[in-house]
Amino acid sequence: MRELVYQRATVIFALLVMITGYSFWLTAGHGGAGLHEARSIVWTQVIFLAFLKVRWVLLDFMELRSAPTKLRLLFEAWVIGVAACLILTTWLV
Amino acid sequence: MVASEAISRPTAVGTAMRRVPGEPGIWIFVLLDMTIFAEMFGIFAWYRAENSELFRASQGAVNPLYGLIYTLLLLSSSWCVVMAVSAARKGSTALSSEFVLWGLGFGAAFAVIKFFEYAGKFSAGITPLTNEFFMFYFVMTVVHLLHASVGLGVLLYMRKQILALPQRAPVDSSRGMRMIEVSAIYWHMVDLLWIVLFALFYLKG
Repeated sequence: MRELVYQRATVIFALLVMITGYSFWLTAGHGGAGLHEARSIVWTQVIFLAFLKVRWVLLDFMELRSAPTKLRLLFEAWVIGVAACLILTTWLV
Repeated sequence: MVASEAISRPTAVGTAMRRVPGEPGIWIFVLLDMTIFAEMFGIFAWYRAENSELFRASQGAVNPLYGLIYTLLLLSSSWCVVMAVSAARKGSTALSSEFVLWGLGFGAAFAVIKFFEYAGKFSAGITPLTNEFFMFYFVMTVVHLLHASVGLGVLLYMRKQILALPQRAPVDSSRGMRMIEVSAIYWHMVDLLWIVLFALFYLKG
């Protein structure tokens, strides 16, 4: 059991939980006020952290880290592309 | 070269062999599904940028604590499924089955609490017709909930496949093991899509 639990995926799980908690604190505790620029900075952080989590789920839970490079890059491109679109809309639209 | 052939062929990296987890077909499905969700994320972000005050005011009626609980439930469920796959590979089918049941339990809790949240919204007079924010909120979270509901069935199928594996014998590339991996990949996709929905609807950026 211990041998099973002591693996990279468990460390990633702990990081995912910590980032979730941090994102919640960032917005529930401090979001909702301020200038448009300040709110855009919070949104940028929230989206960046969300897609960092998504990337870890893809690489370490869905095992793309050890998959053929082309397959991994396809999904890495999805992560970067969608995150960039979401962040850019708040600054450019 | 056909895309599925390109991704199914093992490639050498150093001395280690890279292989496609599960079956190539599941990755095509996952990519298509994630692309459909990506379009929805993009359209939501566009409307949000154009109607930022309305979206911010509407978000005030969404309890972020629900979002936090859902995310922790789905992350825990996903971790249990990772452990289940690892245990199955080592031939510990009983332990693997137990982990899947925990994953199923967390997933079911997600779905049950979601119904309570929707009920609260409807009783407060909030529906998909209230405004654009809630139209996105209901459509995208209900589509995700449908994925999660299918996922619960997939986890039951995964458990059945685990119980059919040979006892105490490490297995790596049998058809049963690949089906277990396919099931896990689907469930992780449900978790992954939720991570984005949590950021869009529950975190007030």
